[in-house]
Amino acid sequence: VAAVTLSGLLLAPTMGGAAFPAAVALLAANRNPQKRRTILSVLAALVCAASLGAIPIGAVATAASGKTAVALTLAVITAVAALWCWSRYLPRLPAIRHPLALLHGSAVLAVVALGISCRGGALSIEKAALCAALIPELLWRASYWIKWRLRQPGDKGAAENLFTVIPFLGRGGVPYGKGPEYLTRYEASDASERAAAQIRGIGLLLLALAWRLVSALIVARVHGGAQPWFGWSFSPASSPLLPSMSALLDAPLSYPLSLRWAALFSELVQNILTLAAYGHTIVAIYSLAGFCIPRNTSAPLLASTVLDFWARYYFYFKELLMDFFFFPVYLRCSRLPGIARTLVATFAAAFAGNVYYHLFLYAPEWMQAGGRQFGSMALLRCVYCALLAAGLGWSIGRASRRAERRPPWQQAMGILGAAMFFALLHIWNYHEGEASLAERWEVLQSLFMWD
Amino acid sequence: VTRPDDPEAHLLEFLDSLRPARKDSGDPLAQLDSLGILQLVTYLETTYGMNLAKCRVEPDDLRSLAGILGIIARYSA
Repeated sequence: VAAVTLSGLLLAPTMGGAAFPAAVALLAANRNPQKRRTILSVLAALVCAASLGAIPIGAVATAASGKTAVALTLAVITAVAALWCWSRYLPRLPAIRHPLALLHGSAVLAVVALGISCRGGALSIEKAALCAALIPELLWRASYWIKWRLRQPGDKGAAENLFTVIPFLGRGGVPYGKGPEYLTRYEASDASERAAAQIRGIGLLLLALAWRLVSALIVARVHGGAQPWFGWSFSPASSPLLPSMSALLDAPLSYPLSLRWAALFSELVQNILTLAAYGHTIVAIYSLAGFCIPRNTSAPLLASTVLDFWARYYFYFKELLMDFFFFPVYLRCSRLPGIARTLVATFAAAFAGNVYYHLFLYAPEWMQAGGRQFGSMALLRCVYCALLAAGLGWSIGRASRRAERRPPWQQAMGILGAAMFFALLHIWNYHEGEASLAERWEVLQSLFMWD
Repeated sequence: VTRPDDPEAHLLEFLDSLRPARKDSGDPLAQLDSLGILQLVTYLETTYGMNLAKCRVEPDDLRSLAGILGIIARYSA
């Protein structure tokens, strides 16, 4: 009880109005471990309803009104209910040979229909964009759900696992904890495991608070900016030590070479801290509920290869790409020689899958008149994903030829190389809508030009 | 394809060859990364002549010894 009360207090700054139902449900879930999943499903519905009014939808940037939030909640409930009914009868419908393809085809059609309705004036831009923003939130969770249902005999456990489909933790559509099957592997089975999971959860929440504090301090004292830490801002340094990424994109050559590189690495560290704090909060909630799932971000700056960095940086996104793109392609290309097979699968996941995932996120931009922003964001994402795929492919090629143990100096060079690769890659990932490809290319060039 | 007499011992030997530096850690699959999973898939395909694409196998199935032995028992016939 003490742990969960404390967790409620720690969650309040992160989850706002949803923290109270979350804390109560976590308390209830821990008192009734047998009904843990059912209680979490109720919590998911409550939190989802409480937070749907503030979906970030890029350029539309309109927080939904109370009426729209209710409509969105109803849309989510309808979608989840439809999915549940469909998946309930899925094993009995042999005619549907590729249910995942059907789901994704329907999602693409829904986005296209929303775009056409919006352009034709049948639907307002705001409503169309909000509906389009909901699709990726549900799509990947539903994909894991269908995968799980296809492997389940009968329809046991469908209702109690609905929390894995409801988008109640985080935004962007990446399902932390994947699906019901994965959660089962990490579920606490007795009181001592439950206690260990809760202590881990509290630790992760405290770590998330600490990383947010460090990130706010870096922004204020190093870059001279302002980033609130739960409503409290540090006074910005009058003469910043390093330029921010925005300043670098505006005029890269107005800073010395050493500062340009230092700013790039500082941006990478800040990006990692932000992602780690975000992921730790979500993983902490699962841990507090008794699911001791792996961390999303786990010391990526200690990785000595690009491949290892990618796995440690954003674990659940990497898993999504592995599960839905890499692995299926790898299995189907069994006639290709080893390295070619791996490279084809890497390209399918890191480039094709990654672009596909992001196109759904950018769909609200497409609803805008002209859709110019959508085009530039999609192009930028293609460049980013192509570079990522190339880096991962190169890393896999090297890893398959290399011995397990490396001398310390090689390890150190590997760590520096992996961090440098992702720092340079981040130039193409920084705030998609804010700078053009040409501006980013200028920053990249400036890093290799003497003052 | 020549099937090993003792699939479990053969599999453990293969897993040890993937991670020679971590032989002492209890679970041979505990530290297996994405690349290790790929090597494991190739091992199953070449050693048992399986076509895993038709077996509805998920990457997570390959993260436990029991899961892999189950796949061998089901699909290597």
